[in-house]
Amino acid sequence: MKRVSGDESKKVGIGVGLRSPHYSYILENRPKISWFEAISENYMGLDSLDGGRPIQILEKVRENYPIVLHGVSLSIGSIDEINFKYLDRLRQLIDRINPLWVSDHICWTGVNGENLHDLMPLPFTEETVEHLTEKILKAQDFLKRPLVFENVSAYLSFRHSEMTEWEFLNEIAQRTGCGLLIDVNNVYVSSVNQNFDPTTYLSAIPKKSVTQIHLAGHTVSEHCLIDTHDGPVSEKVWDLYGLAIQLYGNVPTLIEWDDKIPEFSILEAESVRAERLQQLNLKEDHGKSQNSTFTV
Amino acid sequence: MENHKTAPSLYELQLWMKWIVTDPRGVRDALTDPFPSDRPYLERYTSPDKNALDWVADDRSLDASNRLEIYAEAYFTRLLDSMKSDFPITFRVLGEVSFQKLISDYLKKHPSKTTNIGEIGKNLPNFISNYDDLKEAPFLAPLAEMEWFMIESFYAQNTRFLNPSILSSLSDEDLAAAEFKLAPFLYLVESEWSLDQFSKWRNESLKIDERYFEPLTEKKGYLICRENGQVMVEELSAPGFFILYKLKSGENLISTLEHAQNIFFDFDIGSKIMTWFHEWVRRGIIYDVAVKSEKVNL
Repeated sequence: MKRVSGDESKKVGIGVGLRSPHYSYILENRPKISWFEAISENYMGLDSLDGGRPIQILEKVRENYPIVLHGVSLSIGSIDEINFKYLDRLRQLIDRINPLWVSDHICWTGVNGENLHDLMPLPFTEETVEHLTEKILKAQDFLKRPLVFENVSAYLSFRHSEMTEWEFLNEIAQRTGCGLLIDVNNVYVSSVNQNFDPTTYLSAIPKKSVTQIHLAGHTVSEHCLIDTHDGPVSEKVWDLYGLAIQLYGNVPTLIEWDDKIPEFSILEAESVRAERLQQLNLKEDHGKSQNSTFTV
Repeated sequence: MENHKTAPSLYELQLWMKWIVTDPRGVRDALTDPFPSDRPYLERYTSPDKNALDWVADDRSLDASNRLEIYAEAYFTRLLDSMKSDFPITFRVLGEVSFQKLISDYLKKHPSKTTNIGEIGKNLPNFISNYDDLKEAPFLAPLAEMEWFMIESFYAQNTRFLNPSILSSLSDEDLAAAEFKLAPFLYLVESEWSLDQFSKWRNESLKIDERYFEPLTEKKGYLICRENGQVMVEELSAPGFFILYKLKSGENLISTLEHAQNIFFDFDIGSKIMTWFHEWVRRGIIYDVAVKSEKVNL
């Protein structure tokens, strides 16, 4: 299996998360968006049911746009056995939609058969690396395709971690051949909450591993940042995005907005801004060396 | 990086974090009293033996328990919001405080075991019917059941439409003996409570309280189905409900007709059935027909 690298997927451009309040607008107006990312579970139906109306809509959107499937429940870091029933339903969805690639998160969402429906953090240890490697290889084998995994926002870290998050991600990517989805907002949120330098994080991820980038908004609370996806991308994150595309090239980038969802035109405006930064990056790439002068 | 030899295994850590995040009392109370002995669903309140709090890094800005509290709050808020969205009428009848207590108690008995957050409310109607706090509101369980069936209808398999010319090509004998398939997104509900205003309640943000719910002297039948992507609820006449119910359970047309005539004493029932029948075919409620075990479709 071959990783979907940033180099191969560069032409995909800027996408937007597909959310139900925008279904009618997208189907009726065909906005100029390069691709959509759909949350896999929203189209896999309930346990005993088929997918119903949502899958009908996704198939209609698919007629006009490339789709990336992005999951939230693979729970690849859970100590539980891999959920093959879930994977089988994901495979059926993949067969129906033929996505550009399939992604999920480096996290656990539940244990002992219970699901917390949240992206829970992992300790960055050799034990975790081995555990993830085994499960990712099994999942990729089952789906017969390399997967792409996203870094999550974290509000805590573990004292017994043996490596940094970026070293951890690099190990996973190297041992499994999976791609990385670098959520720049998550990097920033975690960097503030855990007091590390986000530029060190981004600079340590090799270009060849990065398949996709996420951009989203967060909320500033009294003592930390919360990854709420309920507002525009912050200026700090836009700055970091500038660095990310300097480092990785014009990787396919997605604007995520999950709560207090605005009119589609607001998302389009965010995607236009990302596109402009990519165009600028392309010019700079041709014009001068790639030495970064970025600071946050 | 600090490396502690006695660090919890991944398994111990995840079990502990699940407990601390889902304990309904919140992180601080859970840490204060990690081994209570007198509560229902005790396992939800009892810490795994390993205490992993020391393994969560903290600093001056935010200590470990506050960091865990972010996850605990997000857990409950996310599930509560999902339930509010799936059971909007039940939520409006109960109000914020009672609904929160209901969901908190519900999650103790029915923690999510599904990968789709939209499925966590599956057991709520049954839970409400056995929930002591709501014994004085017996209409709530059927109301919540109706809301749940709307979700199932939304996610149920898509079907194509039955070509009416197939029906007209059948002989009277074949038609009478035929078995019909009803759409998977069709749900039939019989209620002792009037739910006639259900659609209005769903679509308008009216305040709803118990005075809207009066027990009926005779049960009423309701149909839930999906048309043009929208799930709708409508009241059915008693014979209409009976016939759809019989057809759904696999009874053939002649047998259904005979049963209906015996029960409803209506000499005109045959022609009414045929009128309804064609309407149900037109709407996709009946989508397939099998004649003498040979499937004729589409």
